[in-house]
Amino acid sequence: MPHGVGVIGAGPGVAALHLPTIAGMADAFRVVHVTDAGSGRAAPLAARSGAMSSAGVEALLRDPAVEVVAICSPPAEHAAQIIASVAAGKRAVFCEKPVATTLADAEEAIEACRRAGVPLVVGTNHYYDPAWGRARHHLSAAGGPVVSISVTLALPPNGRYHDVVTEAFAPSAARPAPDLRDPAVAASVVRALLTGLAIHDLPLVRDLAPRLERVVFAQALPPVGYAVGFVASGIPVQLTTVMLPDGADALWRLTVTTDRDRLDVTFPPAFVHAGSASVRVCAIDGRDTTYLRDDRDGYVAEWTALADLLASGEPVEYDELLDDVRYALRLAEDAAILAGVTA
Amino acid sequence: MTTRVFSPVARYRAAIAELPATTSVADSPDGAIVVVDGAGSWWQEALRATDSGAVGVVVSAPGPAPTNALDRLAGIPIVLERKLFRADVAGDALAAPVGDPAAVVVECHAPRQALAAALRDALAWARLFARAPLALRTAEFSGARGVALLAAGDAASVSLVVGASAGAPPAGRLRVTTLGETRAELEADDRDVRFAVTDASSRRVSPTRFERPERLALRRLVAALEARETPSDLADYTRDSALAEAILHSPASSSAAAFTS
Repeated sequence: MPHGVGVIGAGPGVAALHLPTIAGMADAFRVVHVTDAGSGRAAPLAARSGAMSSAGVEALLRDPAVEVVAICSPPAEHAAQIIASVAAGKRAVFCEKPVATTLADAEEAIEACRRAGVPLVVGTNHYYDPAWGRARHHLSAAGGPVVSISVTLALPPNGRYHDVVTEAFAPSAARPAPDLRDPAVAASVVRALLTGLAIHDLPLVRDLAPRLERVVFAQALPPVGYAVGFVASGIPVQLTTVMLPDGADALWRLTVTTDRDRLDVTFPPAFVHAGSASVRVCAIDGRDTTYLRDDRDGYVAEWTALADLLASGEPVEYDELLDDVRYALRLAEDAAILAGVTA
Repeated sequence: MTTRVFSPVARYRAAIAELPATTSVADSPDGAIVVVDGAGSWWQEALRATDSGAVGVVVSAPGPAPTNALDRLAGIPIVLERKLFRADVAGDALAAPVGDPAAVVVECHAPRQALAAALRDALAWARLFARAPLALRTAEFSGARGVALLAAGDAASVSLVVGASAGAPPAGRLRVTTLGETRAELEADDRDVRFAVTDASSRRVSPTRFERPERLALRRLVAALEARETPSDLADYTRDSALAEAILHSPASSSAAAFTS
């Protein structure tokens, strides 16, 4: 019997991503309720799934058909909605990244899940991507000590990818380019992008370089982006991202160089279901190997992980989730300060 | 009429043989292009060659050189054959419709003894893609690895990671990626330099350059001599070297550490 899912939020991530993903996992989940803050988008999305719709979280949490809450609302609301879901006696929570925008909120939300024994899965799809498991295995088995990490993103507007996974969804109006010469704006852009975009990959970075030592540089990049360099566990890490108004397809690449190899994990664009990332290894013996890609992508894998937790009752690594938040928020705060200084 | 080439460097004899209409073997430096091995004090060898009547100098795989010594070579027609930087691919890159990138990302790794040369070549590519001189803003290098942020004029930023990796090819492995609506990617190692441009409609990979780098270096110097031009190789190398040395001698920054909690 599939678990009833109540979805909080009705934005592009829900329409283009989670509803189609859940629809493809009919044995495990079915959407029974969609709610948002009253934009009017929840009703048509719910209707397509044969689900109820509402405005505001309370009705969804009162709905006995909702066993699993999927939190896809603005990040500042995540922690309170996790806590409310647990208080309402829901069986599990899926929360889009980040769990919270402050450490105190994250601690409170995760502690609520821990106390109640409620499984919590955070939508860090890159961490769940089967390719990362492959890469991690290679690094553990044959990679040698990590020398450096690079995460490089060049992203065209999301609408290009929404258009191939959904329809009849009005694109967001283009925002004016921020004035990055203003130190406060530069700091704000860097903070927001690190917690909203770099957060996809920071759990992977933390997996390899867990002890965040110091931010070496941080700069907001036009039109919208960042260049951040930091040292963690003695390993230099560079994060570079530019969001572009048009142009080439998305580049989303995490590179780990070890004392033996260079390993590229290249992720598909957000929203699309194009299978796993690709993993390429340039090895010390001269071999240049690209591993077979998995049919499953990280979005499917993260929902599968939640289904497995519900089925098995295995404990969630709550401390790992909390450490991910600590890492990301501290990096974002330190980088924002530097970005403001150097604007 | 061929240009005579005096080469104690064995690899260049094959290159001379591959330019039968342009070059021939010389038995002395006088009036010839002289090939100097870059492994030693090549700047002194280059001066000696010109004192002996050389019309120009090719330096094969130049190693580190003191800046003040390089100043004494100014005005001498010199072509540098750099391990991870090819002038013909650089021409492809300059001709590519890449525009002004928002950012340039550099990843540079090499065995420890080759790291400085690899970084020098990586910075040459970054300078070329940024289409502006580079200036170091921040760097931290310790334990044979580090990160740096550079400014390229008023527009692009260049960020890089650099590190010693015993598993990298002997001369190193580097990748330079420009982030813009049209994206350029350059990868270089001992065997090959690969260049590709991606835009909204296509991805174009430049053809493999099969000409051996020694032949390319000779051809470039012959062309420069015929045109009575002094190649910019030495000036470029001097700038790239200074920048690489500055990065490689940047200790952990106390100011950056002050922002950590």
